[in-house]
Amino acid sequence: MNGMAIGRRTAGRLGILMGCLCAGASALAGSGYTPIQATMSDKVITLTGKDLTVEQLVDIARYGAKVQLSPEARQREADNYGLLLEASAEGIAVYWFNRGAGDQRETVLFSGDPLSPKNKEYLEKSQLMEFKLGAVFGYGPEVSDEEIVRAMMAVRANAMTWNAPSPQLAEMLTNLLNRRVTPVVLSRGTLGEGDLAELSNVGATMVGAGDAYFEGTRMRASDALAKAGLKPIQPFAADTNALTSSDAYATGIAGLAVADGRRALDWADLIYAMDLDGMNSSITPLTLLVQRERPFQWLNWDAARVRELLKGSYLFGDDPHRIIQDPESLRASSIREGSAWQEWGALRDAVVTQMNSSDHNPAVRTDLSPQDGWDLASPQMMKYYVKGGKESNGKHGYIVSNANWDPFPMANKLENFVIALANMDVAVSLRIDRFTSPFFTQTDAVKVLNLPPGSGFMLYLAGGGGYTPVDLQQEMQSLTNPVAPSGAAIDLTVEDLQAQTRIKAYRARQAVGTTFDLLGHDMLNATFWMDVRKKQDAARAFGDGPTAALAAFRKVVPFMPSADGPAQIRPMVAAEFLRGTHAETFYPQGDPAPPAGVP
Amino acid sequence: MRRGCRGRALAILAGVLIAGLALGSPAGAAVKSAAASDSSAGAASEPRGYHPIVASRSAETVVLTGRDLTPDQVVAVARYGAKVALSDDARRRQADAYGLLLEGAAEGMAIYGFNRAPGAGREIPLFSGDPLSPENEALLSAKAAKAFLSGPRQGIGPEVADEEIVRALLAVRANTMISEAASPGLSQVLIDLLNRRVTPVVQSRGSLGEADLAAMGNVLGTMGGAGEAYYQGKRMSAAQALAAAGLKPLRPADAIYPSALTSTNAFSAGQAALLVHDAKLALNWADLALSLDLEALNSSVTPLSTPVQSSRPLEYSNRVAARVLDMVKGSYLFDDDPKRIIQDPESQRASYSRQGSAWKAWATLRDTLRIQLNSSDHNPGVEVGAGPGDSWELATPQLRKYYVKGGPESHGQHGFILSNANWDPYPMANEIEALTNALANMDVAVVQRIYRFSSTFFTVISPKDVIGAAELADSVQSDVDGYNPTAIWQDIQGLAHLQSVEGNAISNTVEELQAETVLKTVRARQIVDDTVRLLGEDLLTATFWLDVRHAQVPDRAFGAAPTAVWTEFRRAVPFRQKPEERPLRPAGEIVLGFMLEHPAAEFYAPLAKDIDAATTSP
Repeated sequence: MNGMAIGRRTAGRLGILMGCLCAGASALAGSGYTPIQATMSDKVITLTGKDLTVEQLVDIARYGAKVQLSPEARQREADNYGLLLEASAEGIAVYWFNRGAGDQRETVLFSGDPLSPKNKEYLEKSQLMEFKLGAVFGYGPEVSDEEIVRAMMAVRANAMTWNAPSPQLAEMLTNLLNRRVTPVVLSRGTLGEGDLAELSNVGATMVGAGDAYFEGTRMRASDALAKAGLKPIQPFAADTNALTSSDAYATGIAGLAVADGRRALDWADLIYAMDLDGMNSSITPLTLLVQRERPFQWLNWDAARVRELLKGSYLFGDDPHRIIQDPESLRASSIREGSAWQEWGALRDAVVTQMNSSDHNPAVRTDLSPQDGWDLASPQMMKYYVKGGKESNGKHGYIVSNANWDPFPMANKLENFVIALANMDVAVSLRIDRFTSPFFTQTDAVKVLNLPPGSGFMLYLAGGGGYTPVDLQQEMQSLTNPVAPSGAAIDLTVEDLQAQTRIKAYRARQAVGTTFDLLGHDMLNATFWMDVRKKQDAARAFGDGPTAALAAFRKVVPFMPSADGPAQIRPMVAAEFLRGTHAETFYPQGDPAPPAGVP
Repeated sequence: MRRGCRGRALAILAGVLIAGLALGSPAGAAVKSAAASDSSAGAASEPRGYHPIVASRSAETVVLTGRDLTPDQVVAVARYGAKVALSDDARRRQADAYGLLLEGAAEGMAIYGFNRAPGAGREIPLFSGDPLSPENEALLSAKAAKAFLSGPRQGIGPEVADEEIVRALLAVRANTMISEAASPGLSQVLIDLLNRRVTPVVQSRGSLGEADLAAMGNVLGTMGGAGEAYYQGKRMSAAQALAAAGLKPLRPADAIYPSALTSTNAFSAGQAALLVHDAKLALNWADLALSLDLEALNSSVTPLSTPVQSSRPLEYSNRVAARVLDMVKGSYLFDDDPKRIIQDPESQRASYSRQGSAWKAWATLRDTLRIQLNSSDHNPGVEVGAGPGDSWELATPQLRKYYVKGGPESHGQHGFILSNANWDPYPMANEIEALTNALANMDVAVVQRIYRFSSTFFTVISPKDVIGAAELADSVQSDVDGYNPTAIWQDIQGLAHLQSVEGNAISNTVEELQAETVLKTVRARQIVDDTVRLLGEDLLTATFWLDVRHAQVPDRAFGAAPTAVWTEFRRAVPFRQKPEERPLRPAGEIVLGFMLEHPAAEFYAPLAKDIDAATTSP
């Protein structure tokens, strides 16, 4: 398989399949590791904790853009850190700081001022030990895509501005991203809420323990830090908690899936328009009148978009041979695509909120006072009120236990998106096959192209039909069933609820990848039939978008395969073309703006 | 033999399980239903235990406009016998659409499913020219008469055993058909069936979840006097039922376009309306039960508090947190208590998050359904008054082929008749599964939080520390079966699986895409019912522990809402009752009856409004 001329991300996905379907990493340490191409390393993205977008996440994770904290975010983090130290000094019980974690929630680890000599020594020693031990957390295989680890770190760097890391921890996390020190991270061992293992692997790199990649090359973490001009940190206070109590691993993968999902859906719409051109379709389902009857925003938007792509096409001319209506798959494609867009919008909104809010326990809020809510003045809440003092520079606030580690609704939205994609892909796989029947095409391609009898195999290679689209659709089927909700009562039954977001996010990532593969077949088929329609009648126009996409595609994939030509696997080249080219390049001016993320 | 999910779903559709649990119906019905056999999946004839409705709201009339029907109104008509009437505007729009259809054919236009055959026969002409010419009208009337007779032969059993499901179908179709070319006669008989309570025998299977042709064919049969129907809950021949109701069978001449009735997703949309209504009641109970659980565990309320919620702007989770916090306002939970644990087990702590996420899925489905209930799901679309100038594509030669200029049959009105894919019930089909999945991800927290009460690692005290041994032996808890929450949960797990995405290439491969919406809806309704049962177990545990907490410190205050539930609940299920005096029925069944009889809003008024209604936010 390695000899194939396939793109980086295809290789990554094959790695997923070869290694472990759900883990998304190669089976052997380092084999098939896919480093990023840092084409955006000149770009700096400012993290505020409030407005990180999916596109920015991709720039950082996949293309090596750098990050910096905004002054406000830096101040908030510093204030929170001060409040944390002050809370303990004031004798407040703080989960996973002066109290233990998990079932140790009532166990006192230390008391009083964290900066007292005795406490300081204890915290430095215990934190350093925990960070070092981070190298042995988790379970293989290792994550083989550098972009996934960077996405996790970027998400954490942004959301951690709501928490209370030490200044050195906050600084180091951005340094790892900016100097491209990428920790070796094990793909399994999280329950999809609180990605402790994966983030502990990152912590190990910060203190020089374990292995890491520096600019794509694997080495000891201490060497990677040295090469990057970084010194190991001395973690302090509640740094283990600050770094690791987060869902950044699943959220990072989800963010990448949202970005890739958008590009796949853009292509689905454009190729659908090309399919209509290829079929000599009746476009009545897309008209304003039909759409007006059913005011589903995303569906209406999708139909309008495809309609505009086809403006100027021969489909709007009269043709006595055109059938009154297409097979269901072609007719309903814009409905299935619009519905997939709707779930995409809902997932995007959930991921964006998840990336820009605290997913951490406990919550540290420097700005709140007892009069800010009726609950806050109650004796129960006042137990967690920090009055303010030396360590917090006089600032007050609350530090309270919570369930912010529960990554819902994002966990649901990931599954909803996969289901909607599968319900779209079934229409895609079927519409490809309908071109094999003159009952729909009203045309015999062999005759139009003047091919000798027995050219069926050549046509099969030229178009995108055959077994593979069905195989891919069946692969989608295997991804769609929701992960069974689980409540394994572990850790003395304190931790009795899981979210399985890691599995859900990887499935969404793979579902998007499989959709690209399926659309590659659809693209081959659509372009083949557009050429047939052109040969049938050279005067035919297809609409600006489909015409431009056909021209670009033909530079990569010729109309007909040739025994003497390049030994390309046409559907794979087609899928790589889709991955490497933004469909929006071919959209005409005035592509309607998508609705907000509500149905 | 243990039946698989499908067999189970069928039994549900046959009414054996769902009917009795229908939220809001009298508790007695639930008990009666629970006692019924569940072996009807293979029944070929009248389902054992047909469940007629109790028409307690027959004095009400819901006016159908085709634009604003709500799930609650569907429930009023379907479950409680409210009547329906078309608004004047709706009646006129429908008549205009019918006129345009006739005129379109008269002008020689090809119209799918009318003068062209359906499915694979899409290019085959069935007749030409004016449909009302003597020759054509005779031909079409004869065809309609045949369609009446074939109506009862369509579909696959078992029969739908719940009258409310069939009435929901009728009500939804009566509303959405306003957009279609239904003849005034066809429209009137459909309304008459609802208002006189003639309820056709409908087979539960045969729909592919997009275009419920078989179920609607059954209805068409009854309208024409063929097959069997229930008149006010009694089964008889359809002809007898119509006669008993003072109705005449539909004239074949009024059914020359029967597709106006049958090409629809009303079977699944009707059940989806029941689903949305019932799911709201279940989720309200989930929120209220959580408030009792907090009191019962002596919980730390910090996850619901302002600092946490204001830093995580998830609308529905925030709203659940706010309402539950408001329910326990005034409780001892806000007092200082040195024995209170810093944080609860995860299931209890994250319950609001899972419930909020389920509410979010519910709200999305509700919004989607509002459109589905009030828009055309029919092919072709009949657009009276639309002209070529309305949009650029309408002026093109391809679209002009489907432009009706207007003439005598349309009283001069023009418009378009366009083939489409409006039968594809998306996004609703996806949103139904999204609700199923979200409920399962909520229920896992509910089942876990019930079991955490068995450990003093969380409760800190044991019941025997504060209640005497004799009294404890007579307490309700001694009757509770510890397996039940898991048993219900295992059922939910089985239901949480997705309906496989389907594309079976039938009808010469023209009809090669399916949506399975009926099956998805049935499954979602079952998970709602199981959720209520699970919450019943939750309530049993929580109320027991309220007694324990009360015994521990008698002057403890609980919030007003949980106090009200606890007080009322103890009337139905006394805390202390000698074993020999207790009813010889599972406690869970008694609790279920209690929950069906008392909607959660009875104990906390804001629950009556939708969670995202502006006034709900405390």
